[in-house]
Formats: sequence, structure tokens, C-alpha cells
Amino acid sequence: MTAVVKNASPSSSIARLETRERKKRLKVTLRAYLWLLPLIICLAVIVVYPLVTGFILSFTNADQTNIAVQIGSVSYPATYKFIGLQNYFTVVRGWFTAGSDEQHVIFQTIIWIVANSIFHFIFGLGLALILNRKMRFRALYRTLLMVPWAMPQFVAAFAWKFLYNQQGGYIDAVLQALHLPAIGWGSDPAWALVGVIIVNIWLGIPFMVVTLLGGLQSIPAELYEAASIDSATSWQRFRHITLPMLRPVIFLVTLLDIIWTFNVFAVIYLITSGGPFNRTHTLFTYAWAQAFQVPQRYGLGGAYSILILLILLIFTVIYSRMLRANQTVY
Amino acid sequence: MKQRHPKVFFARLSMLFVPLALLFAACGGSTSATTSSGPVTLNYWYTEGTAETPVILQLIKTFEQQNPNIHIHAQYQDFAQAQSKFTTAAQSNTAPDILRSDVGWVAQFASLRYLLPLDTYISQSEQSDYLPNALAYDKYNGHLYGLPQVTDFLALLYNKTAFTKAGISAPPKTMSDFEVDTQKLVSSHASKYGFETSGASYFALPFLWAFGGGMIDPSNNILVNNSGSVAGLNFLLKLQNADKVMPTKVDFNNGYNNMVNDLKNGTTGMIFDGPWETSNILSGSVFTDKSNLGISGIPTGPTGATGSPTGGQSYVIYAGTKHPAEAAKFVEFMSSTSSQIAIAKANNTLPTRVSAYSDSAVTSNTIVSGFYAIRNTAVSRPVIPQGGELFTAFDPNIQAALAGSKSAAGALDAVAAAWKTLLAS
Amino acid sequence: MAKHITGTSEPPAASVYTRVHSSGKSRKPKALSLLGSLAAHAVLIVTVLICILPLVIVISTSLKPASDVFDLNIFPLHLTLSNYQYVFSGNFFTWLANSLKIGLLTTAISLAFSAPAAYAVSRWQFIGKQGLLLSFLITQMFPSVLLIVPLYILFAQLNLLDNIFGLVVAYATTAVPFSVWMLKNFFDAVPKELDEAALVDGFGPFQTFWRVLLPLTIPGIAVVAFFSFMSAWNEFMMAFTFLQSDANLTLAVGIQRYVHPFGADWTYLTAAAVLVTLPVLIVFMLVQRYLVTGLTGGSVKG
Repeated sequence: MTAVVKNASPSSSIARLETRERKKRLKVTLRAYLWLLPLIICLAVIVVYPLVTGFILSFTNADQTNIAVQIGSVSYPATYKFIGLQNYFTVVRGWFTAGSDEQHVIFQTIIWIVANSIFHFIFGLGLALILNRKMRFRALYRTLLMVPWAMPQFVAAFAWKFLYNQQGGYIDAVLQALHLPAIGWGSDPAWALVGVIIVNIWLGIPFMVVTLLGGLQSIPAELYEAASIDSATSWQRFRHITLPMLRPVIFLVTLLDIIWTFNVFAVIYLITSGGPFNRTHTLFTYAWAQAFQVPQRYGLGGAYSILILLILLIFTVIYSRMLRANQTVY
Repeated sequence: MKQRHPKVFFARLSMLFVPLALLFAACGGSTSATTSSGPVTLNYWYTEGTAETPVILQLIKTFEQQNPNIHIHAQYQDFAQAQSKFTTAAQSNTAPDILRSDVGWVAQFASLRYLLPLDTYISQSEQSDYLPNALAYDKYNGHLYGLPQVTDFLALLYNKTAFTKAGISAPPKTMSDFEVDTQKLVSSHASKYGFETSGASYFALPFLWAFGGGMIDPSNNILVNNSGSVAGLNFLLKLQNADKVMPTKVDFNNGYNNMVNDLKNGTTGMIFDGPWETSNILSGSVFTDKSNLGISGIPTGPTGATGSPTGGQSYVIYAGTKHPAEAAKFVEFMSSTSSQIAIAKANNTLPTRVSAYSDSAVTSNTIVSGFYAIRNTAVSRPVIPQGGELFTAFDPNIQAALAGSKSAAGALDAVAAAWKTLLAS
Repeated sequence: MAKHITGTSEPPAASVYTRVHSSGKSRKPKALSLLGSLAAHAVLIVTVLICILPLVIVISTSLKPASDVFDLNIFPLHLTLSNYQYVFSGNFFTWLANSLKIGLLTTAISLAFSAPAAYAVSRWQFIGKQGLLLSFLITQMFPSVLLIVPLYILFAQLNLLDNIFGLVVAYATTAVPFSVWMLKNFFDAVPKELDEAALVDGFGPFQTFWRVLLPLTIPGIAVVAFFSFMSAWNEFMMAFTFLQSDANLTLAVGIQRYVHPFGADWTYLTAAAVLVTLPVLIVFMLVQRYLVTGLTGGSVKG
């Protein structure tokens, strides 16, 4: 933007140039929006309109008994009422009620996200560092490491559910062979949460490995050569060259990873359905369950999802501040 | 930046997409032939398990032969999802014309106006041929909304060979005998476990009733946390935690399937289950001799009380169907005495028509007659719109008790509290 | 490609260099590096095994008769293809056709809407551009549960619930903004000088877009297409919530019928799973390098 203005030569009338610039910019803007028009209309219809509807819905007591339905040729109008912030109060009150399911769900969500992103990062970076060296079979390792990413989540979830079966599953069989007690993947709330987290860690490692490996390979080799002349230890090289050079990539992929982890549904739903007794639900799956499991409280589910959006937005703003502090342009 | 070879690669890849798109276009063209004039097509959702399905499809074929102008488009819907799927479909006016509904959902669907009243199609005299307990579930606000296909209740299913090996001569009549027998089975290594449960509240209910508890009585009083219910649940917890005759932890992710599997392969000596699962159970390795499966009533508690939840499946018709008469005709055919006999023969399930029980094919079926003999233990659940939601709060709390996160009393109090709000709504 | 997305250039590295310069002792004995390399291989072998084990078990189970499901042999004792036969005799091909239709339609729609938009935001500086880009970014972060409730209510009124076109609309809500973002990254990588050259040749904006930019970014477009297709192919939650009739299901929802709380035919499920996974796996292995480039906006070489 500013580059164009700077080109203006100092001698001629600056004012006239500026109006011409402004006209040109208006023209470009007009043209740009013409090109953007289909997209804007499309998003207005399929995103903005539903979003507004959902927002309004979150202030109502809409559920399966009172939404508008048409049965055959008979139409029954909607009979739900505006109840103000009651849904939001219900949710937030739950968060502050000790021992309530809602409060457990908050803690579970935090554990879910923290554990997943930390392990994704540690395993991803570790494997990327190993794979960044010249070694035999590197291409083969790299390809096979991609399998969890390539497997559809719903298939992976079933595969792990099969492994986790406490009576006859593979993991149980190994434990029995070692005369160890069965792990309560499906009965003990803590183990169940660990179980679904393991699956999601497993699913997410390839993305981390590939992106971090790409980042590592973008670091100019000269830097390391200089360091090796100066006889730096490998830890020093890692600490003072690799990490700083990798930082922008790290920030970007962890942000993506956290958002994706937040939005995981299939893994939790297909393996535990949020159980035992709601102890593997995250905010995301719990919001879905409120809205779509009998008695289908759409208003409450809507309030939940608005709150989730707020949390994600606040998180992203903080995060992108950190990003900007690290000199990336996003 | 090295983008030479990928470009070639993607050029080829995109060439692959062209025929794919054409193929897809071709597919799109061929699927629009469903709404032709002439014969009426009825959508039917069935929920029978894999082993139970063949006889249903066979009956549908027969119906289509008898009624060439009616085509039945039978689609599978898994039982665990059917309640919410039908709700969704009814809300968007895309529901199937006929559904095989659990008896516990009928009142709820009817109260939501999703179901067609059948009073005009099914005469009073015909209704009188149905077992009153079974038909009661299909009545709501004085109207008939469904016709029961099968009725069921839980029985004690046991492995006779394991019983012999453990020195047990007859199935337990009382809960204390039951406890002793589970211990005998385990200590004699006749089976790894004496008893197994699925972790769902439905399968824990017999214990509650046997010790004098219950769910909700006909006048909507909550019995689920009375002293009898708590004693019943405590008895189950004792089997698991103190007697160690059950798996120490129930895998709630696979609870029902593990329970059935373990009876099938001899891992457990006893379970509580209904007739619908018997055709699957008999395919198990320890039941190659089908007479090895024993059926007995739920043992009685200290006061002689006993109870087993009455369940079943009913045919219901969507209120928005375009062809109510044809749909009613199909439902009548499927619940005719001869169809019920065919289903009972193939799946060992209990017919709902009194007349079906006079047929020799039904009476000679040892499983059907085994279950039928203990029908007096069956207890009906209250027929209320909220009936379909009772287990939403019940299951997690039973699981919490089994997992040791809550005491029996604490868990059942939580259920009672949730039901109180539910019944008030 | 990396340069103008991320600001990683010399300064931090230079300071690192001087810092590293001041410290150091040298040692790099051969034995240690051999040991290190062995350890590296060991770690990788274990990791690779963990990565592929579930897939191996799925494949092996799909080749077993039902009675051997829990026999724990990786190599089936009694090999059988009957599970595949059973799956083929059911609704598998209907679900496959639905998944393909939904995937291809979602891809086509998101490309058609996003390509011109991506061109505009990549090439021109205009009023409100930053805000627009930000809104695309925010849309990408939308938890899908945010839209699923209102879409459900709207679709219920429009009879679009048990309908694959309804699902395409639902998928477009995330696929379209995502495609804009990814395509913009690929368009950015084409030097602006080419546009100027096209302008000299008398090309208008449309011709520049159609004849210069699109042909040059075919690999990028293919990546975006693949990504839209895959996300539709793999999506479970919306398909599960919106679709009801067996004939309208996608593969993601359909294969659930084999294993559910009241019946578990693991052999059928695994056979269907193999059929769903293998084609995807093969294509994925071929394109994964370019996927990464598109996703991270070129901040990574891939």
C-alpha cells in the first residue's frame, strides 16, 4: 500500500497524485469485490446466515418438542420462547459447580488439549530431528510414519477400540501374557481419557513430523557449518540455531494443531461416546451431545458452541500476538 | 521451489479426475428412478441384528408377492441410533413410513406427533389377540400407535456344561443360591467368571427388583433410590468387588458385546439377557449342542420378590406417510399370527399374539417356551413420554457405581434427582 | 516460496552465530555416532511399528473368520475373503458412491467459489482486505459444532437433512474459506512480474487469471482439491448427525453398522475399513509432500 505512494516523485503536485491514487484504489477495490462477490454471497448464505440463526437460537429454549416441524402435509409452527441468557447461565453455573459434569468437561478439555499438543510437539520434533540426519531407509521411515495421518479418523477410532477391548483385545492379551491386570480403557474414567488421548496423539504425529522436518530442512546448512567450525556441541546447535530458526513454523503448526485437537469428534465419539459417565467428553463433544442426544436441546447446544467460539477466539488473539512478536506475517 | 516433476504428476492426477467426474455424473443420472408412478414404495427401517435379519427380509418378499402394487424399501437402522435418527427424520419430514420402534419410545414419539394412530386400521377384536402387557406400551392418550412385533424380558441364561462341571444341579432360584453358584463356577474353573453384566442399567434392573426396589411406579413415584434398589445394586457390586466372580472392571465401551461373547465362548457361566440375542448366542463355540443353553427365571430376592424388565419392539407408522393405508396393510401383515410364528421360529423371539402360542412350531421351540414359562417375572415400565429418556441418566450412574466412583446409594440418588426433573417437565 | 510468508531471515541467525562462536569444545568420536545412529534406527523402527500396527491388525482381522476375531494371530490361521464378500453384498457401493459424490461436489464448489476470490486477495491491494482475510481465518477456526445446530434447524425446514446435497452445503462452510486461504498461498508464490508481462500483452484481469495464473498453479489447485475431497471423505460428525437412511449414508457413517453397542461384527467392519483406507492411503502417500506446503502456507518447504 505504502510502496505506491512512495514512488510519487517529489516535484509534481502531490495533491493531484493523491486523488488519482485514491481513484485508482477505489477502482481496484471495486474490481476486487466484483471478483469476491460469488464467495461473499456464498459465505453469507451458508455461514453468516446460519451463524446468526444459531446465535439467536442460543437465547431460546428450543428443543425437539418445540421447533417447527412439518409432518406430512401438516405444519406445526415453532413454539420455543426467548429465555434471555438462561442457557449461558446454565453452562457457566455448571462450570463453577464443584463435581458437576460441566466442570469435569472443562478439566477434561484442558487435559485433552494440553496433553495432545505437548506430545504431538515432543514426538513430532524428536522424530523430525532424527529424520533430518542422513541415514539409511530415511524415505521408507518417513513414508510409513505417514500412515496415521492417511487413515481416516473413523477407521483409526475403530481400530483402536478393537485394540482397547478389555476382554480379548490385543493390549489386554499382552497384559495377560505378562500376568498384569487389565487396564480399564473402557471402565476407569482416567484410563479412558488416556486412551482417547493416545489415539489422537497417534493420529497427529505425522503432521508434526512432516511440517517440522520441512522447517528443519529450510534452515541454511551454512549456519550449522559455521557452528561446527566453532565446535559447538549438538545441544548448543539445537538451542541456538535450530530452535530460533524453527520458531515461526512451530508457532503456526501448534496453533493449527490446537484448533484441530479442539475440534476432534470422531475419535471420542466412536471409542467412548464420551463415557464412562461423561468422563471423556470435551467441550466440543459435550456441546454436540447437548444438542443432538435426546432430548436434543438446541438452544443449550447453541449457547455452548458460542462459548466455545469465544474461547477459541480469545486464545487465538493471544496466540497471534505471540506470533507477531516472533516476526511472522499472518 | 523444485516444482517440475510435481506438475507432471498433478497433470496426470487431474486427468484421472476427469473420468471419475464422468462416472459420478453417470451415477447421478441413474438414481432418480425411485418416484415413478404405479406401485407404491414404502420405506421401512428395521433394527434387527445380523443374525435376526434373514426372516424379516423373507417376510417382506412374501408381502410384496401378495401385494404387487406395494414395494417395501427395507433399510437397516442400528438399534442404538434408531431413536435419535427417527426423531431427526421426522423433524425434516423424511422419516420412513414404518419403523420398528422400541416399546420404550412409542409414547414419546406419539407425544411429539410423529406417529399415525392405528385405531381405525386395527379392530378391537384383533387388538384383543395381543398380550395386554405388550400392547400397553403402544397406547398413548387413549389411542393405539403401534403393533408389537416381539415382546421380551431378561432371563438367566446359563451354560449347562459349566454348571455340571461345577457340580450345580439346577439353576439358582434365589439370589443367595445365585451368589453361591457363581462362586462354584469360578472356584471349580468351570468358567472364568460366574456372571457378567453389560454396564447398562437395563441389565442391572433385575437386581433392583429382586431386593424390593424398582424404577417408577404407575403413579410416578420414584423407587429407584429406595432401600430395596440400593440393596440390589449393592448385591451386584458385591459380586464384582468382594466375591470377584465377575470381571473386575466392566468395559463400558464394549459392555454388551463382551457379555454376550463371553457366554458364547464359555468365559462366563451366566448372564441376564433376552430372547432376541439367543440366535446369536447359539452360534457360539460352546453351544454347538443347542440344548447346552439353559434358560431360567431371574432369581428371587430375600423377600421372594423378582422382576425382569419387559421390553419389545413395535411397528409404528410415521404420521406424515403418504400411504397410510398401504403402511397399515404392511404392519398388519408383519404382525399377523403366521408372520409372528415365522419370526419366532427363526429368531427364537416371543410372539405378542396369544394365538401364536397355540402353534406347535412355537410351543416346541425350547427357547421360546423357556422364556414364555417365566413371563410372570416380567415387570412393565411406565408408559410415559419421558420413558425414552429414563436411561439417559440411569446408565452413567450405574456405570459410576460399577467403576467405584460412586456408592450404590449415591448413584441411585443421582438418578432419582434427574428423574424428578424429567418427570416434572 | 518461503521468503515472503515468514520473516525468517538473517538477523536471528547472525546473533546465534556470534553466540555459538564464543562457546565450545569439540568431540565427535566415531563409535558414539555409530551408537547414535543405531539408537536413531531403533527409535524409528519402534515408532513405525506403532504407527502401522493398527492398520496391520485391521487388515489381518479382515481376513479372519468371525470365530477367530480374538485369536490374536497377526497372520490369520484360516484365511478367508468371505468378509469382503459380505461387505460387497451389502450397501458398500451405495455408500462409496455417496462419499464420492459428496467429495467431488464439495471440491468443485469450493474451487469454483474460492479461486477467483483467492486471485483477488493475492493480487490486489484493496480496502477491507485485511479484515476479509482475518474473517476467512476465523471461519477456519469455527468449531464445526457452531454451525451444526443452526444448519440442522434450517435443513429440517428445507428437507435437506437426509440429503447428500445438504451435506455438501455443510462441508462447503469450512471447505470454501479453507480453499481461499490455501489457494492464496499458492497464487502468492507466482511472481507478480508475470502479471505485469500479461498486462503488457494486453491481457485483462480475467485472462491473466485464466490463462497465466491457473495453468501455473495446477499443482497447488490439485493439492487444494485433494484436501477438500479428503476432508469431505473423512468427515464423520455432520454426516452422522444429518444422514439417516441407509441408502444416503457416507462410508464414514455406514461402516458403523457393523460394530455398535448391540452387536459387533469386527470382521465385516475391518474388511470395510480396509476398502475405505487403502485407496486413500496410496494417494496420500503420493501427495503428502505437497499437502504440507499448501497447509503451512509455504513457510515450510515440505
